[in-house]
Amino acid sequence: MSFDEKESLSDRLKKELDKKEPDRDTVIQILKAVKKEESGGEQTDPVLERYGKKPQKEEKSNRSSVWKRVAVAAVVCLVLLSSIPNVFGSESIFTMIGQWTKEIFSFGKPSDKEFVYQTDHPGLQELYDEVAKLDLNRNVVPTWLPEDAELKQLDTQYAPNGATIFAGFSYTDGYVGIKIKTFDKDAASEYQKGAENAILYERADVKHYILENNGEWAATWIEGNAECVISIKDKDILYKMMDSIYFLGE
Amino acid sequence: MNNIDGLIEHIDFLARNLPGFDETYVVKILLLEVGIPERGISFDYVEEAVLLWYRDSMRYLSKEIYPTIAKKFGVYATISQTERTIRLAITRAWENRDGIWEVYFPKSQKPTNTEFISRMAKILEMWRSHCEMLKRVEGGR
Repeated sequence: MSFDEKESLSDRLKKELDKKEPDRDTVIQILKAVKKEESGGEQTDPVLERYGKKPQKEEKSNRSSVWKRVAVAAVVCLVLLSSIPNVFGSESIFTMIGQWTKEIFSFGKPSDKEFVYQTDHPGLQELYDEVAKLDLNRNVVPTWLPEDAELKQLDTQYAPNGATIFAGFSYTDGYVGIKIKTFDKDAASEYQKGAENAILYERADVKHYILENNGEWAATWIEGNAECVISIKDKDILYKMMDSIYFLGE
Repeated sequence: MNNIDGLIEHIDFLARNLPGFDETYVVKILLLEVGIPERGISFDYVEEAVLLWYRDSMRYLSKEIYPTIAKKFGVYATISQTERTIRLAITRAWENRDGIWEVYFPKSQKPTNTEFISRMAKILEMWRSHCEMLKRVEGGR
């Protein structure tokens, strides 16, 4: 291909790209023409040749790697769950949630409102950036923590049916745990609760259920296909953290 | 040919055959190839986000990239609207994806905003490194 011919196609391509709304079909056709000229019509470009064709499925080669990931995730989850009592004391608040035996309460439908996340706490920003990968419709990360709180643990586990993000912060008077777990479908789920009634705390049209167990408080709620839990010993701080999710830490 | 080899070959093709193209043109090509809708403001937002990640090493979407884009595109653009516009553009490209998409995004899940922007910026870096390598090897283009 001569320099002049190449330049002409390049100019055409630049002209198309300079438009306010460049056309995808035109750009691809010009690129194909460049490739054709370059190779004397003998070769195709591996990306351009897939234009307009259906994606190839990669199920077979991924099957074994999916199962490997499930196995690794299961092992890591077990390790994480067994380490939680070391952070939070004698009994894990998260395993407690799965063990209530009496009444059942259910969450209402999640909301689709937007939120602009801002925080001065670098640990919360790290957590937010991790949670952002889950692409939830609404923010679930507090923007406020006690001033001396430090991020001690941030773990994300992915499984075929969802992901679990866990963050642990320590501060002068204790620990805060935040867990976000996603499911395949809308997590309008049902929970069994213990002898004490769950306190309903509604903020910004979101129903949070506050429970107490062994001197520790937990707030649980649903956002889309995610189940969220905050646990801490100080109830006032818990409420303040929940408010900060929706009201920019006011 | 697997996806990685195909991508590398395609980057080599772009680097060799588009003299004088800088990253502002190459990013448009990449985004059009994967199917980001060219109509409306969403293409500009996604393009700007990728360039901010690539050129200015911005890594925080909420704190840096979205506010920068919102400021650039005028009084009616807010941070949340920017995030939503980019997310919808990626969703539309994902829903209408063809074979080109899976070369750039081999995973079978829709990428999040962060994953998409960082991936496209990474490919742009690969293209730039390849151009520089060609310059050294061929003594300039």
